[in-house]
Amino acid sequence: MNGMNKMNRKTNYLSDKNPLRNIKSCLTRNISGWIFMLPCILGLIIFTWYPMVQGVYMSFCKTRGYDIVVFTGLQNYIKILHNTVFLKALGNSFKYVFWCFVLGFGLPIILSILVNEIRKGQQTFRVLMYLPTMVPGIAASLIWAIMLNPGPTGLFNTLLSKFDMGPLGWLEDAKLVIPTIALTCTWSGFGATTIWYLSSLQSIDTSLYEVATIDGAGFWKRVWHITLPHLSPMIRLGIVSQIIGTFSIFQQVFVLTGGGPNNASMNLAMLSYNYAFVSMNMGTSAAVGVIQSLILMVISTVLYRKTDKGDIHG
Amino acid sequence: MKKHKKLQRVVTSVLMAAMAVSFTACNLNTAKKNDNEEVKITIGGWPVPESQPEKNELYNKYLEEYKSLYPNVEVSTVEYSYSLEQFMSRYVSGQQPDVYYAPFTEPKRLADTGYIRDVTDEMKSRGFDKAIDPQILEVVTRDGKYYGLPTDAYMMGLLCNVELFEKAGLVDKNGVPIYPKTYKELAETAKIIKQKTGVSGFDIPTTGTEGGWMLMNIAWSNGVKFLEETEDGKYKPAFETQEMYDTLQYIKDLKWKYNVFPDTVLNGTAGVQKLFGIKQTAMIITSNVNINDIVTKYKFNKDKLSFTNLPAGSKKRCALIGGGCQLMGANLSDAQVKACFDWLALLGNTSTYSQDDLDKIEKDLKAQQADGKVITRPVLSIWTNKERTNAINKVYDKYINVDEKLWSVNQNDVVLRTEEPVAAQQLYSVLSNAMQEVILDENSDIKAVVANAAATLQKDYLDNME
Repeated sequence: MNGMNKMNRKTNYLSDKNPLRNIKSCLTRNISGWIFMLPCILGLIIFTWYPMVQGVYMSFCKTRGYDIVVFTGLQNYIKILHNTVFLKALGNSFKYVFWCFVLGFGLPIILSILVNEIRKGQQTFRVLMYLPTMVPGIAASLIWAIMLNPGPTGLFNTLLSKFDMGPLGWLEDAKLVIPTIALTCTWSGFGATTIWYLSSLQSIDTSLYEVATIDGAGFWKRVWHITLPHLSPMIRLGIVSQIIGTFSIFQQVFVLTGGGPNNASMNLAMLSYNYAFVSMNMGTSAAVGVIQSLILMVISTVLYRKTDKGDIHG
Repeated sequence: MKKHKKLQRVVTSVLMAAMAVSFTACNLNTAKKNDNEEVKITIGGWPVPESQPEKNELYNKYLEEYKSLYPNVEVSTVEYSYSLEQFMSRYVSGQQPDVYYAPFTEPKRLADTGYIRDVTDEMKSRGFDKAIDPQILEVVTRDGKYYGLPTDAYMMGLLCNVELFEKAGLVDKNGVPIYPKTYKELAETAKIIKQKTGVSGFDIPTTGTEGGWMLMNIAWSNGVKFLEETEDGKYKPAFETQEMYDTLQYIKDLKWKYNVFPDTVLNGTAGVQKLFGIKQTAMIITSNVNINDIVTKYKFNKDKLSFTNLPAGSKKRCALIGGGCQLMGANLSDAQVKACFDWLALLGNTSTYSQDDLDKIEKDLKAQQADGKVITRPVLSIWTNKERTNAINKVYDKYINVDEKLWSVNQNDVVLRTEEPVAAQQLYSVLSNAMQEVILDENSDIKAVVANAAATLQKDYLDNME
């Protein structure tokens, strides 16, 4: 009964028609909770929400440096839509998502399942897989650039020559450049994602596997009927975060190609950078950022809604 | 409820007290500045003690001297000077030094951000407007106003690896490389070097804005005109011409006809310098100021370096002017600007020279020598006074530590060019893409590439200019 009274009290102040009284009531009743949350909320306001709002506002303004000169409405957006590289950059952003998905989506899931099956030396495998994540991004990109030397003496081309193939242009080939950058991203990111899936797998009740084994289920059946359904929410989150991460990929593009050859690897993030630091136009750069965010919001929402209707696995 | 009210009262009191203190502090500061003309400046680009111990010590002495001469100026120093990516963020967050060194490519575009100071009055009152070569002054001029003080200048030249020339049998009886006099000769020389040594004969940056920047040297020499001012004061591309087609065809031929480039063709300036430094290319277009990097980073034997004028194109022999200038923050007061100029004057940057200025140059050279730097005679003087240039050269002559017979660069033999008046960086970016297209695609249509570059420049940049 006591619990019911408390719940009634809570719903009462929320159902009050005066919103100000609602907020005041909410604040005063949970004052200690709000005080505990205050540093975090302040941090979010100062370092996340305010810059975001400022960025969106800036995208509608003519700027000089970081200073807003005048509100110009959709002028920056019109400028971007007329930019000769914009459509290419937009298409390339999707290509990065596609190639990163093809190369990097299944690998961590497979590896996590395999490592989870290992009884001895699992810790070593975990460390080995996580190592690429620990290499600083710029250093990793520079090492990749050396290995991807387009001449016959480049590491990858030397390997290809053993099979009477190549040499390939890799980062200097307009057709190969995006899959190649996606490959470097996958190398950097797969370890952390594998550990992430692995932690989820290890929370599965082992008795489920034992029962399935007694019932005669083999490895594939156990994976299909126990492991994948359990991983399903993580996979859904993984897809969304991978799309967000790869759609706005910047560091690898900046270091490895700068958007070249001849804009073949240019994406929206790189275009935004060029507006900001080549043309010194922060307003237009912010507008590219807003477009990118809007696209990602739409994709994420659609994906969540689609996958919410059923698990990834059957 | 009582507890909440008490808390409210405490918070309000603390806030009121904090505001009162800050207002008082502000008033005190203002009063102090107005009464005593006390100013505070931050000097950027301070010599790093680990890599330039002698220069650091020398600058510390200068600072002591400055403090005794100008006790009203509070000076702080930082090693950071300028970087394009950090500049705006540092400026708005108050971390950009008040006076700092930046390359010639920057003043015009930084003036557009409103974050660097118009120093016209101070420049004129100190006589720099008359003392500095007008072509050099143009680099720091935007809308008739000066936005920085040029301190040094260079022009592009051809840097050669003497060892590779020797291996290719391309040296005279004195061991001096047989320099290409024209760009056609450059291609042929590079081809011979590649055939005889297996190493790339010539390399040029092709990425970012650096590719286009370097291409200007060849294009101007072929007579390319890049921009044309229209009647309404706007600009339009003017490079859809045979001269530009020839220039890009030349770049294309270097790859597909002469095959002189290294395996990796998409490089920036740093990448090209690295390839030269590790002896993977025999010739590059660069300036004498970058030679120190090549020698110190890649342990290149400075006695096997040769620097000469750029070759001639079909019309003339042009070289791009580069250099550096001291810029100041837009938020500086007149008194702070004066304090910054006083500091620069103490380093020897004065419009009229004296023995004291020459002594300072000598001290600086001694410090550089002790720090293991390569010292060559300045290839380009910023001063209009020839007497001053000669006097400076005489001081340099005492400290030159390269094989002089291998240094034959001479500003009188070339036509010096500065950047295009507007959208220079955007032009370079567009040209870099054009270079990439012709180098990577053997079947590229030069006319279409040039037309596309001109259309992109017009649509993406020139049309948006006010």
